[in-house]
Amino acid sequence: MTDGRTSGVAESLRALRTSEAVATSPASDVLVLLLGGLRQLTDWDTDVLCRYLGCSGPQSEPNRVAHCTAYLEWVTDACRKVDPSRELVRARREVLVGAFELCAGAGGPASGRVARCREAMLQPVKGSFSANDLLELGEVAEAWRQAARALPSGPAREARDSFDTCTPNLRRGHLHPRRLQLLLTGDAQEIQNYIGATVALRMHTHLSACNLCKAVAAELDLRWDHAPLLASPPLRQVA
Amino acid sequence: VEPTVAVHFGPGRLGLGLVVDVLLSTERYEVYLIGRPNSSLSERRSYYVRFTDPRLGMRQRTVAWAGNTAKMADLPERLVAQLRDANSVLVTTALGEDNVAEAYERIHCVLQLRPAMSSTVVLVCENERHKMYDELAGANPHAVVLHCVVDRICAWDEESLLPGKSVLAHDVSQWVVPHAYAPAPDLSGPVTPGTGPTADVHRMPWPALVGLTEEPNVLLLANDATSYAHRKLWVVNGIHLILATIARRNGVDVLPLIGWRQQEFKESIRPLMLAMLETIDRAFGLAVDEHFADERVRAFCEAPDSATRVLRKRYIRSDLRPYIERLATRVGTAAKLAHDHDVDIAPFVWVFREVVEAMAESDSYLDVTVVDPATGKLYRTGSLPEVDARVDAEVEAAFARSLEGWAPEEAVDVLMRRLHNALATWRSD
Repeated sequence: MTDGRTSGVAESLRALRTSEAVATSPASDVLVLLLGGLRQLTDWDTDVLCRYLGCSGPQSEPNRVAHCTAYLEWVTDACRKVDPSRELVRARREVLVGAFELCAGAGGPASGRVARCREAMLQPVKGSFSANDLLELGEVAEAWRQAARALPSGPAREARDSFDTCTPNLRRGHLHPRRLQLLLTGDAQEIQNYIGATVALRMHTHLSACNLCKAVAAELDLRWDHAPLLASPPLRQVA
Repeated sequence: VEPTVAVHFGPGRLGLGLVVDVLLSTERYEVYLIGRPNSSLSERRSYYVRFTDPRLGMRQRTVAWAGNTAKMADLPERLVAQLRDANSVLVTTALGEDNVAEAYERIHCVLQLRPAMSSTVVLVCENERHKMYDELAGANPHAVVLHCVVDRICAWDEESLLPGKSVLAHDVSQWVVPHAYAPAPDLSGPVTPGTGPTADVHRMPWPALVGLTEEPNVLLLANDATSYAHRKLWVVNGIHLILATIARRNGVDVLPLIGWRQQEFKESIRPLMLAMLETIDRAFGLAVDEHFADERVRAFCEAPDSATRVLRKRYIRSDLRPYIERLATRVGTAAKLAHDHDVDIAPFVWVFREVVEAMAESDSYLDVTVVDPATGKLYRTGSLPEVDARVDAEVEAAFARSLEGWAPEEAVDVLMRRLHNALATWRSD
């Protein structure tokens, strides 16, 4: 499901459900449900969604179905790490296309790629955060860069290493300066629209503990210790 | 020596910060300054040029006359009389692309006052070539119209408390004048400028340009300035575009880059800079001049600016076509020539990867977030940009064209897919 492009995927899904090999198993239902979940997360219809997932249509071989299921589960997990709000649908789409890029470039046999990607996303690189940590902070682009760096090998890792060697490293800290600026100067509506309340709270928590990001805030002349509305600790902690 | 009359159209940053500044430095020109007739600001005779390097201080510049004249009748009588007499006259223009078209009539009227047999030179000092000047040359065959290559980072000096205009300028500059030498008197047959022998002791600059011969930042060429134009377009404008794009991607909007960021950028850009210079050497025969490139990067790193200003009207999510067009002319053409002349193309591939990485940062576009260059404060635009799939398709097609004929197939595939995906996250289709 991850190695090509197709159209008419909705029709293909119907075909999948009637496929002899899997019609009697719950596997096809799982796939349909996972795709439905991703449709909701990205607000893309099935055809568009499958195009950006790199879906090549129905697969009736049990191994392929297992692989597709693992892939969709992993993409779904990644999408759920960023903010769940309706306003942040673009962030979840970015997660989805980034997941496809990483998986396509993970190298090695296709059957092991999802596992390699999952593993890579857990790995902190060069003393920094893991890709999963960065996704939770809403740093989608940087998360996928970090995941590529954490891959043991493959085209995505090679391309990332070569790019990192060439590009100037103009950033310090984990939070993008623009998002940091919005977090600390934006009003509640802007924060909801562009960061999301869930991620905003995580960013505040991170900021209170990370000296590197505090230094970035200071460089931008921002008061990280000035707590706006969304910086309040969760109610259960107050209690 | 009687000063030569110089009429300058376009008292903008480049006009005041380079063209008029140089003319006045020579002390060989009597400068008249003509601004836009509908300008809200009356032109003053005096303005200021402050240098980014505080050791160079500030200059007060005073011209013979300045005005926002619409009609010939508004020009001072002394200037009209001088235009009508037989002495040589220099006309310079630095109007900027938004003002070029409307200035035709006024420049044409000035040229029409000139006697046919008197020497009149028009030095066009624009970043882009504009067809208005070809029309002007066609309608005024008695004037020599020369397209110069001009280079100096100039900005309005926002901190100035002085009355009138004040320009903040960097000391690095160059003004290249092509076909600056008149045909030698002993040449037989019809001679058009620039087709005769190159730098030749028997040839003299056009009389109106003699005053510029001693000026260190002015280069008078016997032939055309194609190599200089390419060098400027690629090494100055191209690298400036890349600097702004990389800065924007990294959330650094206020330029110049300082400290470690400056060092990082200088080191990263060097391979591209050298590849561009090598290409110019091999394609046009202009020897590699690392000092030229180092000085330009130094200028970027020292002149106050902002990524928002450099990318304005172009790095716009709703329509990225102008941005891609700039990328193609400033980097794509250089890459194609590099490939054709066996120069390493890896640095050019890197640039296109930088662009795609920037485009994947969806809040980096100028119709999503803007930074006030004065305060450094970030603003979100009120509503998200309208995105049209057809415009995006044209952007992708233009991007693909700029990779054609030089980029390795594998790199093209990856770049095109990443660009497509980055744009797609904005759309539902």
